[in-house]
Amino acid sequence: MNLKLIWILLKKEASLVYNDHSILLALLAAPLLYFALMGSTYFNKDEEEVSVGIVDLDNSQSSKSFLNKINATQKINITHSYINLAEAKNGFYSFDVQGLIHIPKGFEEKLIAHQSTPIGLILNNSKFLSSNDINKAVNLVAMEYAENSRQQFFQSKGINPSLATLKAQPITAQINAVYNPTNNYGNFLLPALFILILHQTLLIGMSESVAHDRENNVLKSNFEESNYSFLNYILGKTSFYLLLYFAYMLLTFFVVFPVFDLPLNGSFFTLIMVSFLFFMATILYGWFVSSFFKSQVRVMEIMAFTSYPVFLITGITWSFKDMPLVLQYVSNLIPLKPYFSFLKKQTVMGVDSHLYNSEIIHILLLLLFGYVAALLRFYYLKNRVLELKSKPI
Amino acid sequence: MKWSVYHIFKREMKRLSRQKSTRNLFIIIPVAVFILLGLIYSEGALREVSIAVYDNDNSELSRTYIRSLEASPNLDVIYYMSSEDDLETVFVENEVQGIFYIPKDFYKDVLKGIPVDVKIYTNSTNIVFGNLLYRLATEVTQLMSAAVVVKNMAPLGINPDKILGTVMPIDVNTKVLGNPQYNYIYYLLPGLATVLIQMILFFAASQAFNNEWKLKTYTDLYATANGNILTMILGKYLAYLVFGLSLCGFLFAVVFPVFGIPIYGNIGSLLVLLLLFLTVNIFLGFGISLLFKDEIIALDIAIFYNSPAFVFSGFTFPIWAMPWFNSLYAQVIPYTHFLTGFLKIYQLNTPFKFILPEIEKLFIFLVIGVVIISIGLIINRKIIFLQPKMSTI
Repeated sequence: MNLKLIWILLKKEASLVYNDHSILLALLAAPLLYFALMGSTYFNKDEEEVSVGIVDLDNSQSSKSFLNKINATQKINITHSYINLAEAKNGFYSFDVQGLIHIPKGFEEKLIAHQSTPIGLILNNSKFLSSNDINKAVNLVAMEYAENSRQQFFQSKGINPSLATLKAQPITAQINAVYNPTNNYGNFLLPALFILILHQTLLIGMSESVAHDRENNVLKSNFEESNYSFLNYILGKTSFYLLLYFAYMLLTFFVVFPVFDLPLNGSFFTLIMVSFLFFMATILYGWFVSSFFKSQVRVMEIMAFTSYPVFLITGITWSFKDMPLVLQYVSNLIPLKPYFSFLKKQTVMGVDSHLYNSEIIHILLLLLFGYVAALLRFYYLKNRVLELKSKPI
Repeated sequence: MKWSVYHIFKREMKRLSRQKSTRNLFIIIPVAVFILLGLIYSEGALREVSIAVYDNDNSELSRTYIRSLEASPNLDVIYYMSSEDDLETVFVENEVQGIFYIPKDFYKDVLKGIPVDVKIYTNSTNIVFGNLLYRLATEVTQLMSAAVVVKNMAPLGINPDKILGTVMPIDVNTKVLGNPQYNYIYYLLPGLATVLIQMILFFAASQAFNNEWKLKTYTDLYATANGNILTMILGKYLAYLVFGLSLCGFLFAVVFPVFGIPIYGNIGSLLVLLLLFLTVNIFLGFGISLLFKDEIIALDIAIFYNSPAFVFSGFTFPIWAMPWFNSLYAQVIPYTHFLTGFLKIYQLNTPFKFILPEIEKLFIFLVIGVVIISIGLIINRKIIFLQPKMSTI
């Protein structure tokens, strides 16, 4: 390993980035802009005031009171009142409302007579989040009515009011959403989203640079300048990215996370060290994959489409064990998978270090895997370069 | 002009089919990504959420409660905790998504009429599980609570016809429209796949003209079109439309049936919406291509504009919950409007008139595309009109 040669290659890389508008945009503008633009999308973290329509055919004091209670819940906003179901259907189809509450005639009468009073709830389930929130709110209010009704019954039988209250709901489910107390969307998605932005911009920027080298025959001169040493070459070529993304990583954890009020429960030292290993592994993988491309445009086209698959295959938004086994194996070969798992356990859950050791070992193994893959690829390309060089002109 | 359009169309089809970019964008990426997405969510719905149970009462009632958890089709009790187990260790080591804690004296307190709380801890680092467990835990517990209430009411004397109306006075009849199965593959794959179609077509179209300048084939294009720019645009548009429709065909005729995704709506309405959506993206891409001579810069802009389309579309997080700037940004992406129309047809089977607002908005994008094309023609008039004219002379 020759530090002087590494320094020369590093400076050369910095100069390439500075002079190539596209790489500069991917590495310097895109992460910050996406942080601001996509991160702020979830700034409110959860939805409120989901629009709901009503068809109150009873139009009684009781039905109004019931609907008022629903409207008073945090996430529901009754925005439309329809005369009949046919009119309501139009509002539903136009997406003016995400759900409909239909109160049939005789609602109050049945309620007073202690008869089961059916109401209709129609949900637009094309988007799960709103549908779930409406369902939850309506059922909570219905449960509140159930408790009152039971309480009244016990009181009517001579049981004192405080005991009647206790008897009305003998068993309750006290649900504690651990690690994300309000079960909100922002805390669930944002940590992974920020890392994905860094991961993808790094991959796109670096792969553009590697493809640029091959497209413009710079690879050969880079190999020569590195004395055909893998360590000299790879450190010279990628140190710039490692340093830049180390800085982004610090920005993410020390500035972006606090701004978005995201938890950072574990040790900072461990977080920084493991994140550093993760970026090293990503860079080696990125170099390996992009070394197969000879056109900057082609590699951009391909890399731009890797965001969704790479993100979703980690199982971050779904159940990992419910994915086909072959996908689980593939996912385990991507550094993002153990890193997300580590990040969740270390920063969000704040568990003891022995509970995320397996993820650290996993990242180290992938780092080794990426190193070996890059090394073999380097020797292959080096031989090609030397073969071409030795051919008579 | 009529035959010139055909000649340009034919030329463009040949040109595209020879390009590696076309092979990547229209074959490799869609096949790989659509299938991968389908496989990730191939399980459809989350059926068995892993949970742990801690029975600190070990009574007849607590065992009944556990049996009702075991009987739930959506829950899978995989671990029975002991007093030595610690909450976070169980979450991580046993990979459970929820822990049900039945307190000591559970049965005794219920008999005495003292309300008891079953404590449920959900791992809400993933809100998909958090929301599902909330619903299931509430259902199981309320059912058992209601059974206890009924048992307490009986000795006090209650008209059997009024039991249901007293215990549960409001009966919420929920009707779920648009993915009533809560199937994630029906929910996510169509959304993700259509956003990828927008990206693919936009990226390809953003290289439609500048690539000809780069490869120095523009003079030939100019000559084939007899110098008529409208002919060039129309001919190229038809070729890109064929490619775009092929992608849609692959998605709806192959991917959907393979993964068993139903289309509830009218195919004719869907086709109209798709045609407009594809046209808008082709025109916007052409505009970028005519405006920016450098193919890489054009592609950068296309990537930057399109990459966040899914996040901003309101599909997984509603637009009304976004800060004002983000919700404004969401409106300037055609996918946002296409998605609304698409969901109306595909999920809710709405009549065509209900997608007219989205059609109108997409037409505005079409006009914007034409305006950008016009600006590109004015700015680069020298290389579009003058230079090829001189070359042909």
